[in-house]
Amino acid sequence: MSISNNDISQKIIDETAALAKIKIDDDERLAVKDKLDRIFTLYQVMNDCDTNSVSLVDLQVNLISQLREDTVTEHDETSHLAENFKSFNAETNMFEVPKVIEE
Amino acid sequence: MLFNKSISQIHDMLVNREISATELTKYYLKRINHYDKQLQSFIHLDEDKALEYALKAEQMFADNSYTPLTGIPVGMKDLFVTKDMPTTCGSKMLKGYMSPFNSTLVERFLSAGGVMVGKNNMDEFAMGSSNETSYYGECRNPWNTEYVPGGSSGGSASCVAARIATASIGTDTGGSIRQPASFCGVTGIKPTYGRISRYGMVAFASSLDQAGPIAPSAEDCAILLNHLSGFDKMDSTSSRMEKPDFTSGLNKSLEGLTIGIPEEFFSDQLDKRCAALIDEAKKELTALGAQFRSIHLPNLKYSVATYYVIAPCEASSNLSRFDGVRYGHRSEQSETLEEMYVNSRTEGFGEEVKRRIIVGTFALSSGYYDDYYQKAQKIRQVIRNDYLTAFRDVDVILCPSTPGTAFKIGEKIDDPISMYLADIFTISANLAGLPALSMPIGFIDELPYGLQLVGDRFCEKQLLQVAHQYQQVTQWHNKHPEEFGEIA
Repeated sequence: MSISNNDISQKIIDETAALAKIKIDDDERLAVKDKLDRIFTLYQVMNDCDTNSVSLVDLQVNLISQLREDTVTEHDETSHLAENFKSFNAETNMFEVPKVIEE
Repeated sequence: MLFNKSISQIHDMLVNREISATELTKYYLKRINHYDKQLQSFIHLDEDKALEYALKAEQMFADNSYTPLTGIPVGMKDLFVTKDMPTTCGSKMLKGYMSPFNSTLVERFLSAGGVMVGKNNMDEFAMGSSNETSYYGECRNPWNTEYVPGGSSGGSASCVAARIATASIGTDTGGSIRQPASFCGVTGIKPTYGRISRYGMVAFASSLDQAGPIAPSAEDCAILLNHLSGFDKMDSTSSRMEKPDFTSGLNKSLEGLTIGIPEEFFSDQLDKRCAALIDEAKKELTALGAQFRSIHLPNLKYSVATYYVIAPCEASSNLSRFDGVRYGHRSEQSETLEEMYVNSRTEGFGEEVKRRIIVGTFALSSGYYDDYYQKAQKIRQVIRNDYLTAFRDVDVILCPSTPGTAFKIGEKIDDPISMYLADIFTISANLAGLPALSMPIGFIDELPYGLQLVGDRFCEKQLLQVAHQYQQVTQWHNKHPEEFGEIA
């Protein structure tokens, strides 16, 4: 397989936008497709780079995660949340969202 | 002129009680209030808070507990979360957002007695190269306000160039410190990945993001780096590498230093007048004792495409947290949870951010992951290997920061590819995790232009040394736009 401009059709754009939870209005669709086409044309140069000898394991060699002690800390952000976020319910200590399950 | 003094000169004035931290802060607040209407380099200015920090600085001088940063007024890019000021990331999504904590970098800056005067304008979520994607209006270049200041740290570079702050802190994911530094005629350094904690820095592309200072001179940048860098247990990618005194090697001679010139950077994409300025800078460095050697970075041509796969992939993941539930914009138009997610994100994000989220979501999706994301990661390793090979023969690499000087506002905003190519010379240092610095070396049509120095991992001191030595024999870093002079 290799990178191709054909990868990005209007159908794929619509499906990907849905996955990303972004709505593209009908009057924007052509312009979005045009700009994405140009970006995917830019990507095609990557096909020319020979990466057969590159192992993805090599990428990890220099990366050492600095882990910290697993200690208990207290965080009471209730008053901050109540003050700054109107969807936060200080009584239930939860953020309210539209109803998910119908009664 | 006070506004053109270096951090160390201002520090001496503060120590000698020639000026107080409060007087200094008021002086810069006056300059911001007077000049920033035409620049829009600040999204948020908090005079009361700044004066509170100044009072704390005065106490540190009284207690003899001051540092070289105590009382120094600095702008902070609006993607470092701050307890006392809103953090918007230049986005409608985070309009009015108040963080419950300070980022580590802000905490270190304030602990050193620094005065945070406000939050700087930026491209939305750091995605852009012109500062035009900011929801809060485009920032302008003080050398010519019809031109962009660069991006994404455009506000940070613009306020330093106009000398309405002594320095600023920006971030650099693909050139966002160095490109605006070049466009605005100031010095900016992106340290090695891991040198400065990313805790509390709103994430764009986590494997590439790195914070760094922007200031008139390399010496100022070194002073700031001393206080901002170092291991942080809250960032698992921050390095335990010993933190040097970044100011200690500044005066070291360049005798015996070998500087590599990568032929691939000097292609047709570089404006000939920029190449001529670089030649002049090379002559100065030669006179200072540096030697030059031609080198090759043969895979540089893949860097823009590689970056624009990896960065959107990481962005699509990082920005998934903005769903309207806990923080950020929540659409009022939604009756169901799904509608709330979609409407909040569609209304809250700007066009460029949405485009990159869609690209990243696509490149990470089943069936395309190997061809795009995995391929890009492998090319990233190839580019890293090119640099590893180069640094066997040279100490520092010299190249252009940008293909040309600043462009006009509106010139590239509708052409993403043209905008992406503005980063062509800066991106590879981020892909390889290397430190890189931009410093001013002259003017073309009255707009400044910068030269880039790239170093081996954790060799920021060498970059600062070369830049400082150059700035001892040249005056480009001391130039400032005349229309932003002393206020009567």
